Amino acid sequence: MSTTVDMGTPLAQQIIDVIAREGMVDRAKITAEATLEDLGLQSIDMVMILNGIEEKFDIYVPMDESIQKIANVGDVVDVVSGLVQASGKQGQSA
Amino acid sequence: MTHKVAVTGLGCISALGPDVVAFWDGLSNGRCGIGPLDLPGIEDLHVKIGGQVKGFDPTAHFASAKLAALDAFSQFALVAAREAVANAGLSASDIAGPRTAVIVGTGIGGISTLNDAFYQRYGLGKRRIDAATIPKAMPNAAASHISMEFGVNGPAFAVCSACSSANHAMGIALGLVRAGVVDRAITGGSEANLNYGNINAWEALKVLTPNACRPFSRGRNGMSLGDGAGIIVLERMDLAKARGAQIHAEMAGAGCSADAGDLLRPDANGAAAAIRNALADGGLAPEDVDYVNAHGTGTLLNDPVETAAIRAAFGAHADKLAVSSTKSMHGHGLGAAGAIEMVATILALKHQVAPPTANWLERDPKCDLDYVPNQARAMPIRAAVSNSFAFGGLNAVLAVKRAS
Repeated sequence: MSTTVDMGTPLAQQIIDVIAREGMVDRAKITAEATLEDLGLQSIDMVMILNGIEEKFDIYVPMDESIQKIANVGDVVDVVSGLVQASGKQGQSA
Repeated sequence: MTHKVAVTGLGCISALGPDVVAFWDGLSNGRCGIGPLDLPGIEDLHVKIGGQVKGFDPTAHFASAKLAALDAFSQFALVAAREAVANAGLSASDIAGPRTAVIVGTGIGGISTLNDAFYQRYGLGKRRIDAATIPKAMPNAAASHISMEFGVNGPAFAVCSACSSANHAMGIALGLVRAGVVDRAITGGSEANLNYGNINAWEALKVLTPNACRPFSRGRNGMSLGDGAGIIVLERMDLAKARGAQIHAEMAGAGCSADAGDLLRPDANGAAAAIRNALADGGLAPEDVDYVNAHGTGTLLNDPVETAAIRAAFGAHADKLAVSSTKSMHGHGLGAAGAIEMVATILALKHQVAPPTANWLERDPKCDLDYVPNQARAMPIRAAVSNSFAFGGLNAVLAVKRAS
């Protein structure tokens, strides 16, 4: 889907923190191009990550077509960034 | 020696109504029984809709002393079992004894009893817990209560495989009757999972829709949970014919498989294997089947995977099938789903009408079969298949055909 996501923004870094923590993945392996399979993420890990993102940013992630197109970490950052910006909220401090 | 197996009794309680007549009225008119949930605490849940059994008064069905030990999932199972046994025209003395089996699926048993009991302790700080909590909550409670009500002394137990529970249960019942272990079986599934704690847990899985369940459609965004029970009576064909019973259908075959893969993600190969196994067990060629009652949850993942599985199992004949998800109308009954949908499938066979997929908006390129959108269709149905694919990768499929 997206190949030009800026992974260096503070928001992208916060999202990557959630992926690393909830998915129990080595942060160094989390690149924009890394696919969920590359990171060894199973369906339940993805659910944990989405729950973690909802909690962190106080948003609701709808399971619509944008989620269906997620193939790699860049896509996750892209979709979640869009949702966070649309919500007008910043990450919770916790 | 193996026997042919007849379906002679049908019972169903669901969001579409308290009995089989109301159920078919809803299905054949494409009526969606999923709506706003009437539940304590619902305000702070994101998902506020479901397939609730509305207007159900337990005291109209059970004495208060008995009710004290009955979770809603056992109540639904008993109500549907009474309807199915009456529909089969079996007397109390026919049913009682060791030649009848009771095999009832449930995904999670008395989860509403547990939710209430723990809320009393953790939430309200009450010191005393309801002493009936365990016997109400145990997943075998529905099977036990049916065996007690009808005096059944044959094999009786629960089957637990999440969304495939009822299909696995009915498949085992088919095997027992076919093999002559018993003469008849009261079988199906029951679930009563619409409570605050359980809906919360399902919400976290990100599979529930907040607005509408639209299986196989563009714009779908999840499933709706549903309560209810489906119970059928299976009977040795020769015995059913000898007593002049009304035969709704022949239970032709059952097929199972396990994906042995991901915990939550469905697998087209595993699903296709279960469909093929059911057809082979029933002596059916793909071309013999006209209608498929799909698992069709309405989640992003299930529907394209199931579409691929149907294509893999039926080959070119897939394009001639009518495929619908009645979950769009009664919700996902989890451990009851296969049984509620088996009643729908048998009614489709009897009435020669394929029930529709409600709430369908437009074609999703990944879901390219004929889903009977929004309106029931009168059509010749010689044989039909009903799919169930569970979390944990456990698949169970049943095949029925018109009784000859």
